[in-house]
Amino acid sequence: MPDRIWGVSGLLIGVLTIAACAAPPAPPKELLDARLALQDAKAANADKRATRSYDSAAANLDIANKSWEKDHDESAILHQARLAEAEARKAQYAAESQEAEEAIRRETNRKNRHEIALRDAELILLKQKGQEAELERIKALSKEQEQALQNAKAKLAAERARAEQEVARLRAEHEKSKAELTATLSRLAKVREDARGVIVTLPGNIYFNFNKADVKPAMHMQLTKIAKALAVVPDQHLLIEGHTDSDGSNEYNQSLSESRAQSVRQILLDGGIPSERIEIKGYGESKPIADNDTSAGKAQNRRVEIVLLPTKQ
Amino acid sequence: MFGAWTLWEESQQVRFGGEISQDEKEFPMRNLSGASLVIALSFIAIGCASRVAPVTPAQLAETEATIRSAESAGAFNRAPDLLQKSRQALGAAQQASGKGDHAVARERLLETVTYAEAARARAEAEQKKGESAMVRQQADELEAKATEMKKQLKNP
Repeated sequence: MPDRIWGVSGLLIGVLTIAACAAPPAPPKELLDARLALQDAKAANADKRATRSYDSAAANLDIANKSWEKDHDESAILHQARLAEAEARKAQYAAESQEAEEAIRRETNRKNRHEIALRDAELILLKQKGQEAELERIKALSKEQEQALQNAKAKLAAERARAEQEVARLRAEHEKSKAELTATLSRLAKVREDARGVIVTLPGNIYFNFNKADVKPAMHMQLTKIAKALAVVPDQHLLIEGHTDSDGSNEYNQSLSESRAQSVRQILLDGGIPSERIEIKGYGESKPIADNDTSAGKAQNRRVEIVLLPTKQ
Repeated sequence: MFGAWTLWEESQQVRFGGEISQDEKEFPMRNLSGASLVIALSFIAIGCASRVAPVTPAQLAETEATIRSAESAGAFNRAPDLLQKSRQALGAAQQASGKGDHAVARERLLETVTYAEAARARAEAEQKKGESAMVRQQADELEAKATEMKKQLKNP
């Protein structure tokens, strides 16, 4: 029995020993790493992009493989495998670097193209916006100008209305003053109005002695009152006209009419009327207002007229 | 880089005998028997091994500078695994050098440099990918804005 056991055991040990010797040993990790690295390098196109390193790695791996298959020189296998792995990784990453560089160039070009496109689009947009903004600005300016014009028109209309009111008021005042003056003068002398203005007539036979140029002393007071009434009217210019009847020579009548006008002027000056507002004129017998053939007509023609020249409004 | 290339070339010579070793190898092959050949090859191998110069401080400094360059490029954050492998290889190289195993030291130094360069390459690749993504996003945003603006222009 023990012999049988020993026999079976021996047989088993023998079989196991043969089996162990027959199975090929697993390659070292370094060799596997190198094979994997070369595959990776190939996948990264290192055989085309990094030929020198790739070929070197392939040569190292070839030596390692052959050494593994034939003489199993561990030192040589490991060294060659490590070199193969390192060279293969160098080749792989060099190839990947190249590919990345190409991608950088490609993407940079793409980026530049899009940058240009974006800038162009932005420029167009800005231009459009700028035009819109300019249009809005012009519209706003136009509106402002229109408003300003309307304001100016309104202001002008208001000023015009005020001016018209003032003119109307001044006219009314003037008319009132004129009416008052006319009324005052009417109480002192004969007053009439024609195209030349209001005319105050001083009858010659009342104010002057026959063939005399001086105003009768009795009429000084009356004429002074007239002067005072006229003096209060601002800017009232007066034309004092002397007239005679047709008796006597023209030269004499002319001289007499001028002298009488001068006499009246002097009293008016004494009454307070500024000299620059008074003019005198002698017409002699040239401007009769009645028939010189009758004594009544001649009496009317002998006269001094104070013409209230219309004031500028 | 040139330092790494020099290390690689030296490494290949160490591993496969190089041109001088080949000449030396061919002469006994023609004249000696199999046993002599084995002995001769052993001597040659020993001789070649003993010909490997030790790693100089300048080469170590250059290798460390390669690692620092990778770190400056951002490998510390973007390629920590490769950087770690590079540092491990450097440690192993220093250890081998300390033991007088100059051939291994050189091999590990070469691995150090290559891993550091890979780390740097990965850091740069990641950075460029980030830039690329950023530019793409900017381009997308600009495109959206431009499209919107064009719509506004069409329908003010």
